[in-house]
Amino acid sequence: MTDKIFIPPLEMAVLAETGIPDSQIELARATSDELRGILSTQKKKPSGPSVHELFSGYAKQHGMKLEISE
Amino acid sequence: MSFYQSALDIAAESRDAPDSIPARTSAILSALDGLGRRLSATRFLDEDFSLSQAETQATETDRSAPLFGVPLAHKELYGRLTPAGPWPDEGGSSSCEGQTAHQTAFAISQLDKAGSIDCGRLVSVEYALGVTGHNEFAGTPKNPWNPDYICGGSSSGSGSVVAAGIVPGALGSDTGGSIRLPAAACGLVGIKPTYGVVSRSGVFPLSHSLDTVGPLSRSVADGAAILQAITGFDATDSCSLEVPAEDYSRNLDKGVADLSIGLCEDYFLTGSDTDMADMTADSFALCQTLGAKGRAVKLSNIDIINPLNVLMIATEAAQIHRTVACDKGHMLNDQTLMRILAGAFTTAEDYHVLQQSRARAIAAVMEEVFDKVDILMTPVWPFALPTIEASDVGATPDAAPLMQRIGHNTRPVNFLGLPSVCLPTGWDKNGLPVSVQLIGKPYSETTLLQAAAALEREYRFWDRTPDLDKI
Repeated sequence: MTDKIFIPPLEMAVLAETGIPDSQIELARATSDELRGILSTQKKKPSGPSVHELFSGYAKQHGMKLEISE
Repeated sequence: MSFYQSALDIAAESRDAPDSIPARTSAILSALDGLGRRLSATRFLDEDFSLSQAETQATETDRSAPLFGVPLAHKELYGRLTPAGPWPDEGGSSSCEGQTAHQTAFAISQLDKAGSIDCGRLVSVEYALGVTGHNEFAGTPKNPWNPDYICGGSSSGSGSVVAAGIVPGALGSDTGGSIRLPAAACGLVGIKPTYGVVSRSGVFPLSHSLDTVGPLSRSVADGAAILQAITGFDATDSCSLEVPAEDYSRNLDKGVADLSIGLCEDYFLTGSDTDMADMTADSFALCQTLGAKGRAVKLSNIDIINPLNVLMIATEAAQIHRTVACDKGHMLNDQTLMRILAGAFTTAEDYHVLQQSRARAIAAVMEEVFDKVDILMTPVWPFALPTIEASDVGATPDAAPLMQRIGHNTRPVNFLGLPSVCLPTGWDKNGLPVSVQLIGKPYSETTLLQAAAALEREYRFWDRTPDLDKI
């Protein structure tokens, strides 16, 4: 989504005040670390068109194919 | 009223005898209140509203609407405003108890225009964030084929009620497999449309980038008709795209002789249990027997897509629901809370990389797969369906790996934004349905439905119905 403002990550100190058990916070943190570790292999790769731009292009191509087939 | 009528048959009957619409609607509301609740699948009924819609249709002089008089019920995430007030919009969660819809969902408005009768709302997994169907607050729907087993999630109530034949179709939502997993678990056709084809406006959100909405139905033709009704550009959904209108049903009788179908041994078959992989290979062979060209394909980097999709869902769910998670975390199911919190540590840079990775993966799959074949065939569930009891893992350390494993074959499709149709092809070792998934290039829903209809004619799964006396 291009029109959504990204909210910064939660601080551990803020989470600690929510009353959520430490064990759950730790489990969530460990899951996040694992997933973001996989993501880190994708950094510094070349960027191209956005997802929305790609699909807008595919939609135009599809429309042209439909017109030709008719 | 007989159960298991198709939507298209009901529409034809309603045109011939519009007086039948209120009686049928009334019978279906009774069934949703009885059998639907015994299945723990019915969430909300509004008899006055549904019957008033039915009465209006019965006096309609123009009966040409494609779903004229067809009763449907939908996942509880779909908003509805009525003259008597809004319907509940609780996202299957006690944390939203008492919350009501602020608009009628775009897809629901489209179904109204298509002549359908809205018969209420069906149980969803809390926040649509779960693949097994467990919901401590709203109830865990039972699988009509065997009530000890899960329906899958998160559109679990939709799967249960359609498989029980109460309504011919229901809308679900799919962010990582939530239409296809319950459709497959319940022996139904599930359609996840291409990114941007169906607006999500008015649907309780989980992930802006990945949420899609679509139907679960007992037949391919019914699914195509419901999909046809709900498509259309909607400027209020920033992911909605202006896609040329087409008739999704136009090739249902065409067969597969003009199609090429790919099988990706790595990841999809090797990542599924042998019996699931073998049944998919059998369906692939059947397509070739029917005249399709079969071809082995390979996908690079596919193994990282599932975890990246999990991270994308968690990140966007945390963006949307973090305030509730922090303020009312004690009211959330432990697993929901854990999965939302897992996204709360994502940085803006991570998110940027995630979106870029998604775009690169889409471009790669177009080149590696869809430049070579029209359709990629995969299993849906990677293993035989578990029981409700065995899959109730809560927020234990076993939960995250189990969730990732269940979505092994479905989540990549959301990340790639592609359309997908699943349909039942047989039975697992415990007598529960098994399905294949047909994945296509963007906006190829017509082609996927063409192939699904050809397979449906061979398997004739819809001839079979569960024994509801056990429920």
